[in-house]
Amino acid sequence: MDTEIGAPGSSLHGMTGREPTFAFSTEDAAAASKFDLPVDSEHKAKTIRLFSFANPHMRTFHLSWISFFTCFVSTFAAAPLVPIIRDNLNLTKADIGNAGVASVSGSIFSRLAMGAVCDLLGPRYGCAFLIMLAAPTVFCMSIIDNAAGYIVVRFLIGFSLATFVSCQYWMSTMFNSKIIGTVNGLAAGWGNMGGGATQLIMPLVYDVIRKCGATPFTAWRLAYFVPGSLHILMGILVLTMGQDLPDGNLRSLQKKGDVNKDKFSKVMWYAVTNYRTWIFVLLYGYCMGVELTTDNVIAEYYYDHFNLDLRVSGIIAACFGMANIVARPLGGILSDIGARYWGMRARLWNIWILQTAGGAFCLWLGRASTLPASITAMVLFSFCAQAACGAIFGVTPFVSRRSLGIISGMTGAGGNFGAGLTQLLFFTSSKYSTGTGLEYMGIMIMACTLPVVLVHFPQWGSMLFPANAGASEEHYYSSEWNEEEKSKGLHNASLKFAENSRSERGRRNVVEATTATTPPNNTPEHV
Amino acid sequence: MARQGGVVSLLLVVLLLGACLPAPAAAGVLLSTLPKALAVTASSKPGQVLHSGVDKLTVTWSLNTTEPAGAGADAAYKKVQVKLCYAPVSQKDRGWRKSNDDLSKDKACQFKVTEQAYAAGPRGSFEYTVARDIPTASYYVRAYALDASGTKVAYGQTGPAAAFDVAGITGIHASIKVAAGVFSAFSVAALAFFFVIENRKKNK
Repeated sequence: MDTEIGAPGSSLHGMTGREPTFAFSTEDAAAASKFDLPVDSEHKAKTIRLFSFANPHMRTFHLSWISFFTCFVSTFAAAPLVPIIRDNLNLTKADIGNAGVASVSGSIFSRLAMGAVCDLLGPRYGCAFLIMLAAPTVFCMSIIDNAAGYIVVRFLIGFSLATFVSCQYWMSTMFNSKIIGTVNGLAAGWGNMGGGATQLIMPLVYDVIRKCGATPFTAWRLAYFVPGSLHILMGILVLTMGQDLPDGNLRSLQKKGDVNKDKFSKVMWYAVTNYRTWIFVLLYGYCMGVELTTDNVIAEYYYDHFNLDLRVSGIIAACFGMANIVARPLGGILSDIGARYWGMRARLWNIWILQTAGGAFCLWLGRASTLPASITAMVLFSFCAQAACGAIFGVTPFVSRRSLGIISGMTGAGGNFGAGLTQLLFFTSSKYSTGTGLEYMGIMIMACTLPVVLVHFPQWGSMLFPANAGASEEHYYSSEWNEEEKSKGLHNASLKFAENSRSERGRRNVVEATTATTPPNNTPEHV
Repeated sequence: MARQGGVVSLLLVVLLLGACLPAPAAAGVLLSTLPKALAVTASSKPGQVLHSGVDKLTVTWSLNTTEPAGAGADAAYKKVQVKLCYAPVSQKDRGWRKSNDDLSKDKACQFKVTEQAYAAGPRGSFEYTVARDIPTASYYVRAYALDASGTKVAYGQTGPAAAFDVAGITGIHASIKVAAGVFSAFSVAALAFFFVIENRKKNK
């Protein structure tokens, strides 16, 4: 009844670290008839049917990813309209750059706080609160009239990107851990697509309003009512049609395994002292971070460098963000396919190749002087960078079992930090043009991807070195618990995970399986 | 590894192709080659603030008699095109308004005041109401003389030195402020409403 080890998406199970640690799940016949999808013992769906809106699982999926998409639309709504806004508000390049930095910095903190909010109020209210309280900030954009106001409002709107956390959290309450990787990857990718869709939507709305007779400086302000209204609409839909858990709404969030609730300080310690965490924070800053940066600068780049009009620049810029619809899940799939043959080493090579190729294409994008070359470079850059994002989240669940949630959160925050840093370094100063900034960004991507060579798992190896002889998954994952905790049996979930993670040895796993006394595939269901 | 190898070779092919693609075509007229044959004046005093949509500016132009080309040079001039150009102070830190000697790439003169027939002899003039889409910045006026084919053959300007300011419209109407306020209040109220109603249901 298991999905095969190494099946695409299977690598990301255990994504949020809140899944139950049962070794088996029973079919509840009554539940099977009540729900549209097959469910496990907690009534979480075991499969996903993308074109269904059935309550509660698929409805949650769609409400959740569309809310996240909406927040991306409003956070990057200014980007395609900057050529108009910069004249209306008399902005300098420094103002535009600082606003871009501000738009991605707010969510570093709001994402960290969102985890706690979801714990207290549940993901449904977490999402609704954020999206409806962010709506006034979106409307504020229509009434600002100077650079300071512009920067402040973009900072405030950026807080809404924390819907990423509520989205992933909500998915983990609705979908079984075996498919949670695929589900979360789809939701994250489709949400990120909002950064591309907004480059299409905003110039289109702006054009329509202009045709109705408004001056340019009024038209862009009116155009901002569209993302603002979307916020209100999605907030109301989430409140009326969403529910926290498959069986209904939250009375009080019952945490399974409450008895074994871990100490925050310990979890934080093991996340922070694992050097791999920091390498992945840096890496994610240079795939997701550069994706966010490019969302902010690329439409203005095409408008200025190639003298295209607002709508055409927006369409080209949209191609960058919209590639997320397939690119991010593809990165995860490539990671899983590679792991089937060569295990973790293939996953690390996958990250390095995709992200370095992305950096090379970014360098080409900055240097391209003809439009076809530039667009080709941009599309290839977007595929590689976004696939690298998916690939990185194919590895982070294996860095630690105990601190998985915090490591995922830190990696995500690293993305926003990288976005802010890159915009500050290369797109705020008047010393170089946007094209030169893109060149330097490409070089920095390639340089900052090199540290992945240093990631070494004793039991699986690294890019350049094979596994240490005699190292085991159990040893690696139980080293996060001290003797006292082990004697209480608190590390059992980690041991179970270690056993399942033997698939990361690749083909070697098959060879060893025939000689081991308890081959992984034959582990008894009831232990 | 085959798939990754395929990706790498595709990358190399694309990179090579990109390096071979030709650069864009030839340049336009260079400003430095044009004679400064027109004397242009604007009715604004340096430092004056004109409000867009409201204030007027009178631009006059005539053949510059101090130029060695002298009278008769304007036989080729068929039309005059007058433009509003950003003064250097408004171009600073704003690469999208940069001047370029190559007029096809120049971005400093973005707004057309007028384009009309050139009459040799009398001073030409035009009364311009500052358009509502002119942004807040400092400007000066430049006039090009065009020949029969529309190519620029001479120019004159009130000069980057003497610039006047335009105060552009903000684009904010009272109705936008009201609408923003109403929508925002609705959003917060709707959230509070749902929260309270559901808490009441929970406590019943």
